[in-house]
Amino acid sequence: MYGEGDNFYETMDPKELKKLENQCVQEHVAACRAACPFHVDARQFVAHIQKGEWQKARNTLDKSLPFSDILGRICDQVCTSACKRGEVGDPIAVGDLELQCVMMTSSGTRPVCAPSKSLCIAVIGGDLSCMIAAYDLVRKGYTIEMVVQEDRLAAEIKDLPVDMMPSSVIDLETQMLLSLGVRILFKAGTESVETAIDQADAVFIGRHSPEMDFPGIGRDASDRIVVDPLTLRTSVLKVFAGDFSRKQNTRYIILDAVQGRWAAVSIDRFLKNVSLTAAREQERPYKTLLYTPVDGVIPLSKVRPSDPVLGYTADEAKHEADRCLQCECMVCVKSCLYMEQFGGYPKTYTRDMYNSEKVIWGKHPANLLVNSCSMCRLCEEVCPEGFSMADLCLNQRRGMNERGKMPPSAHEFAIDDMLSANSGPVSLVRGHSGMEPSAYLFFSGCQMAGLMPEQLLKVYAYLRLTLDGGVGIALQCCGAPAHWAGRTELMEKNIKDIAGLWETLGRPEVITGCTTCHTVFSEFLPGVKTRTLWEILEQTGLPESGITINRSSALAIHDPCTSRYLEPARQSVRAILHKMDVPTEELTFGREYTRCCGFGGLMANANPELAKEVIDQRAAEHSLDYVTYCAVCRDMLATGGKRAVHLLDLIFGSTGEPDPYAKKAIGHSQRRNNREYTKNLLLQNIFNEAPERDSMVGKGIKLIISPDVREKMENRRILDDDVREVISQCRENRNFFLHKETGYYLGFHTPVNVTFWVEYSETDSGIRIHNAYCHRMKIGKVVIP
Amino acid sequence: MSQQIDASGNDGKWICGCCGAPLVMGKVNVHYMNTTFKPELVHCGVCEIVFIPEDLAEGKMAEVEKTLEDK
Repeated sequence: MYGEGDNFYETMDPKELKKLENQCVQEHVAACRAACPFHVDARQFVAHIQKGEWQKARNTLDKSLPFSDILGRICDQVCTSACKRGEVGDPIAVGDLELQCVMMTSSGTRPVCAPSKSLCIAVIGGDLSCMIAAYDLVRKGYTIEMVVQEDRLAAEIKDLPVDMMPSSVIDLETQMLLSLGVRILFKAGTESVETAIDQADAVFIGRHSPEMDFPGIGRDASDRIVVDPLTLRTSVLKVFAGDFSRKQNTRYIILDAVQGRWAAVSIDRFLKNVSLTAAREQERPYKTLLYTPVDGVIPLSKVRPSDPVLGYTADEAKHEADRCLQCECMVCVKSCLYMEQFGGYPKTYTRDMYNSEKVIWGKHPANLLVNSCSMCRLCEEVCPEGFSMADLCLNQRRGMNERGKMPPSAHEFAIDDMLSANSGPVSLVRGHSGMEPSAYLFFSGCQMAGLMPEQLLKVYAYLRLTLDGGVGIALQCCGAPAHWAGRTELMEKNIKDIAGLWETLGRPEVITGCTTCHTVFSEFLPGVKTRTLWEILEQTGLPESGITINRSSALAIHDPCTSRYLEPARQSVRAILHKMDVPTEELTFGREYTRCCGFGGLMANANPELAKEVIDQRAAEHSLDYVTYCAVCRDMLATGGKRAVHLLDLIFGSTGEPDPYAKKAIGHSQRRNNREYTKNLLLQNIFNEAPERDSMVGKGIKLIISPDVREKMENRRILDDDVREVISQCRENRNFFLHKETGYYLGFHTPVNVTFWVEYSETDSGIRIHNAYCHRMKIGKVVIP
Repeated sequence: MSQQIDASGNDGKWICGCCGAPLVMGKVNVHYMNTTFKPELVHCGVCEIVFIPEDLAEGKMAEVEKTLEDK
C-alpha cells in the first residue's frame, strides 16, 4: 500500500478543518442581523410573521432587544440600510412590523439575576441607554443605583402619541427594573450624583445626564464627554459614558439606547479585571459575510399601512413580511444535485468528512458523500469564496486509499476499464510512421476509442492529411479514473508511462480529443505542449464532406465539465458550429458554469442512482437536442434518453445510423470490445499492418442476450467476457448447478474479487443467457458438522 | 444471512451439475473485508459447491457488503 517514497497523507487537523469550514458562509448571519446594533434575528422574526406566528415573533425579538415594549414601538430600523430586499425594491419595514408585534403580544421574558456580587454601579440618568445598562448589569448580580434628574424613566420619549406609546408601558418597565432590585432615585440633585459617583465601583453616564460638571472627566469642544469609541471609557478609569457624538439631526433612538448595552460589557469586564477590548469585533454593527445573490428576484415595493400612526393591520404586516428574501447562501447547493441530495452544505460536509475520517472502529458515514462528487468544480465557480468540494473529496479519497479504507466496489470497475484500455492487446502508440518522431500526437482519449471507433479513424486520418510534420497516435487512458479514485501511485505510474512514450515520439505537440485528458496533461505534464482537437480543427479548417445530418432546428451545447477552464476550446467548438451553419443555443448551466453528465469523479461508478438523477436533470435543462464534444458525455446523455450528437458526427457525417441523435448508449461490454476494434481499424487502414493477434472481438462463445438480461448486466457491470469466462470455467471444472425441469445451467466463477453467476442454456445458435448476477463476498468451505 | 433460503432463485429443483446429487442446507464459511460469517446455505452434499440465488446475492449480500465496506 505504501510504495517507496510515497507521500504519507495527513488526515485533516483541526486547524485545516476550521479553515475549510470558514470558507463556507452559509452559517453567517443575515445582513439585517449584522447591521442591527442589538443583533436582533430579524430574518427569523419576519419568518414567524410570514406564518402569522406573532408570539413566536415576539419571543425572537425579546431574545436580543431589551425593553421591547418600548423599543419595539419606536425602533428606527437601522437594518433597512443593509436589507438585501432593498436592492430589489424597498427594504423590509422591520420597525413597522415590530410595532405591530409588540402591540399584539406580551413579552414572555422572565429575567433572572445572577448571584449577588458586592460591587456597586452608579447609573447617572434615566434615559433608555441608562435603563439598558441597569438591566444588563443587575442581571449579572451587580448592585445598581440609578440617579435620575426627571420624575420618570425614558423621559426623552414622553411626547410620543399616547395611542402608540401608552404611559403604562414605561411604568411597567420601571416596575420590572425595581423588582429586579435596581434602586432608582428620581428628581435627583447634583449632590446625589456626586455621592453616587464617589461611592460606586463603576459608573455609567447616559445621554440626558444632569447638566453638571463631572470633576476630572474630559469633554470635547462641543462640551460632550470624550469616550474611547470601543470601550466607552472616559478619562476617569471607572467612569463610562455613551457615545452620543452624532449630529443632532441624525438622532437614532436605537443607536443611542445600545450605548448602555456596550458600556455594560465594558463595566462588567472592568470589574472582573479582564480585557476590555478582546473579541468585540461583532458587538457593533458590521457587514455580514453571508452571500445572497438577488439576480432574478422581482422588485417589490413596501406595503403601505392604512393607519400611519398605529401602523399595519395583521394582514398588511403579513404581506410586508412575505417580501422578505429569507437571506441565505446555498448557492452551490442550488446549483448541484449531489450537494442537494446529501441535505447539507459545504460547511457541514467538511465536518462530516472530518468526523468520518477520525473513526477507527465502526462505520465511516461519509464514504458515499466523499465518493459521489463528480469533481466538476461548478461549486467553485458559483461560491463567492470559491469553496472546492473537488479538492476536499480528492484529498479524502487519497487518504482513504492510504489508510486502506476505500470501499473496493466504489471504483474497481472504472479502474479495470482504465487498465484494460492500457493493456497490450488494446492500446496503441505510433508515430506518423512506425515509431519515428512526429510533430504531433493525437491522444484521442479512451472513451472515444471505446465509443466512436469510426469517427476516431476519420478524424485521425484527417489530421494526418492536414498537419505538417507527421501526426502520431496514442490509444491510451490518460489516468483520470485513477486520479479521481485517489489512487496516487497508480496515477503517477500512468503519467510516467505517458511521459515515456512522449519522449520516444520526439516530444510532439499533443492534440487531445477529450477535455478530461487535456486537464490531466495540464496538471500532471505541464512540460508537454497540448492543444485540444477543436482548436486544431478550427485552425486547419473542416473537411469538405461537411454535414450529412440535416438540421432544421437549433442544438443546445452541452460543454463537458472538464471544459470549464478551457475557454479557447469552448470558443473553437462554437466557431466550428457557426462555420457549419448549425444554429445553437446556450444552456444556463453552460460554459464555465457547465454541469457534469455524471461520469466525472467516477460518480456513475460509486453512486449510480445519483448519476441517473444527474443525467435526467441535465437532459431536462433544455427542450432542444444537444450537441457535445465529449464521447462519454454523449453516451451518458443517451442513457438519460436525451437526443444528442457528438461534434465529430456533425463534422464527418454519421456512421450509417438513420438517426444519430437517437443512437443508444453503447454499454460496458461493447465499449471494451470497441477499443480493440479501434486499434485494428487503425492498424489496417492507416498503418497497413495486420492485427497483432487474432482479435478476440466477436470470437469465442457466441452469446444470445435478451434486452432484459442486457439491462441487468449493464446495471451490474457484468461484461460479456465475464459471462464467457464463467461458461468456459464451468465446462472445464463442472462447477455448476442444473435445473431438473428447465435443464438450465447455473455456473459461477471468481476471477479476482467478484464472483459472477450465470444462468444459461446451450442452443444451436449459441449460448442463451437467462440471468447474470454477482457478489463480492467470498464463499469458503462448508463447515464440517 | 441465516434465514431459510426459499427465494425465487432456489425453487428446490436445482441439483448439482457435477455429480447430480440433490442439494442440502448447511453452515458455510463466507468472508468479506476481514469479517467471516457462517450462514446456513444450500450446497451439494457431495461436491460441497455452494448455491447462491440471485436475490441473496443482489439483496442481503449486497447490503452486508456495503456495510462492511463502510467500516
